[in-house]
Amino acid sequence: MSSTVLVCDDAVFMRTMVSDILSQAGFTVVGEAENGKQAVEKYQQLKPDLVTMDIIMPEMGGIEAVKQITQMDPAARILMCSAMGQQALVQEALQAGARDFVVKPFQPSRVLEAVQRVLA
Amino acid sequence: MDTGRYAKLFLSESRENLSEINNALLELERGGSDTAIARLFRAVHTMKGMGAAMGYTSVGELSHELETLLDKLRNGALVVTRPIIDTLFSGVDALEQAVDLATGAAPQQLDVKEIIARIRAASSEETPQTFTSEFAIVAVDKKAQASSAPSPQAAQKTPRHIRIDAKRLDTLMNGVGELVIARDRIQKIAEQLGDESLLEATLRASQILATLQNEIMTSRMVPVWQIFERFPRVVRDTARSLGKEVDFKIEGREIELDRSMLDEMGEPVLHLLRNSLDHGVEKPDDREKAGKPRVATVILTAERDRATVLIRVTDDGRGIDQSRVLPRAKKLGLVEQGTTKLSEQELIAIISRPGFSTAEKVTEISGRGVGFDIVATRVRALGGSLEVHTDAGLGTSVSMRLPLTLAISRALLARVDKEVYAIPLTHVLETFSLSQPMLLESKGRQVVAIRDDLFTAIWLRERVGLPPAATAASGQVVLIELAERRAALIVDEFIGQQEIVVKQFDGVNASKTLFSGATILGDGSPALIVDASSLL
Repeated sequence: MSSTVLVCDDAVFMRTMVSDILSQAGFTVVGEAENGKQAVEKYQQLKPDLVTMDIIMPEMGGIEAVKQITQMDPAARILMCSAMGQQALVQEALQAGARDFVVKPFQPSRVLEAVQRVLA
Repeated sequence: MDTGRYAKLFLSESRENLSEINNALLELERGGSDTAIARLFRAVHTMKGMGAAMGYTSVGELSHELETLLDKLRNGALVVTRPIIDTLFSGVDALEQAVDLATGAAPQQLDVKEIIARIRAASSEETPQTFTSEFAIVAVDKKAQASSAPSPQAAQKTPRHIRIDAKRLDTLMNGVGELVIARDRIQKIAEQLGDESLLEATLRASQILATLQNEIMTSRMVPVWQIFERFPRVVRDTARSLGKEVDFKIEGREIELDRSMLDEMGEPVLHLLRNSLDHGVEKPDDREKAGKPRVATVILTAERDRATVLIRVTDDGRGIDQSRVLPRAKKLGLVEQGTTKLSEQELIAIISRPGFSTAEKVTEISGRGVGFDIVATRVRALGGSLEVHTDAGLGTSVSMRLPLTLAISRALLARVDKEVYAIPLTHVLETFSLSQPMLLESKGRQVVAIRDDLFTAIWLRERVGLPPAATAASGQVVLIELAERRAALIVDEFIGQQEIVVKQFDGVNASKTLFSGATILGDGSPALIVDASSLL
């Protein structure tokens, strides 16, 4: 059975792109969330193997979502998707419990490498 | 990556984000601060990510620069100013263009070098001068606003606002002014010829011109929040530094004024607010002792009253204590020794005397005098007036009454020798014919007796450097007034009343003080506009 993924980003465009990359590589995208709050809720429902998490989102940002998800499930595997120039935020997210990160714009190979690392 | 399949998605989501950016920017301009900046930042950030993912370098780079600027605003490294808002608007306009170009039939990247340089300059607070003359006319399309997520097509067809360089509007206004002058001239000729059909055609043209004039005047009007937006922060900071607690409210932020007028209003309003906080509002403990709530209330109000706008600063502070002002006023000989209570007009006249309060430290009004002097001078120069209401212990309210526009006003035309001068009607109280018995001498000065009062006589003839008239007691008198000061201005003859178009005045230095501008009359000849404040 392929690994399940929850994709969290406030832009439909980005969610679609990430979903496509992962689906084409054989992963099952079980859900999408458009902010941190939804990500936390859907994580509880779906218990995915992996979460891809944007950092800057309305309602609840990615870092807070990472904190809440890892609090519920310390084994959660979260991959941060950051834009360029957000090193400080990425650091914070990693400290909060995220496993790895990729930098936008996404190159499918990079995304898949990171996903493999996180799931390994 | 095959970007083609994402292009459509990119476009529709970009439209949503650009709409969000524009709305947040408008909110920021209206004085909304932290949440507006956060919304802006998020939406710009999303644009940056999407643009980069699509390989649209112009969108990515531009968003990145905007994001950097917004980040500085967000963390307080930079303060929101007019030039910064202008730059953000320009940047967002460019971003829309970049999106359109990148997703168009023949995709290409917008050249963003120039706009990026502007944004960087704003980020480092080196804002080029040229930005200050720009302002936005925002005509929000109600329909576009009503639906929260307009379809991309709809958004494309109904631009929600257009931005016009302020200079263009000045040029238009000037053009209409010239037309008014030309119309007067044609009308004069038509009257001389007595040609009925020509007169009728002139009348029709007059009506169209009036509509045009009104439209352009209206499009030059900008809501007062454009200058009010920065005050909450100033009030907060000032109150904090003075150790006072203030609840600051703004009312009537949508009231509109001519841009040229509004540009002049920022400083006087700031003075009034500072005065209120510094001298009107008491410290929290003192307020408690006086049985008032610890937190004072200061209200900045804009209100339309017929052809004028009232801008008022009201506080519930200690008010101006007459028992303190009166002795000073008596000592300076400003009021009769027997006076027991100052009228509000007298109070204004006294506290707006340059340096009145600095002569001796009177705590309740120290600084108030200096500030008032500046406010009074500015308001006067704009053809407005000042009103003060104060109750000791209860608070003070200061109102500036201003005309809606500076560009066109009504004036009394008067002749001296061969020249015609325009005297703005805002300062004209009454007119009389001069006769010998009216001319008197008092305390070594020539005065004009009108009813029971004596007014200083001012011969315009003398002021413009002409030799005295053969008979001193001939001519006509204009009683002019500014605040509490009045004088009798003597001219050779009245010609009539007319709407005049105020032209930028570029006179020689020596005469600058006497005239505030120039206008062109119906017959094409120029006339100087007399500045009443220089005579009083």
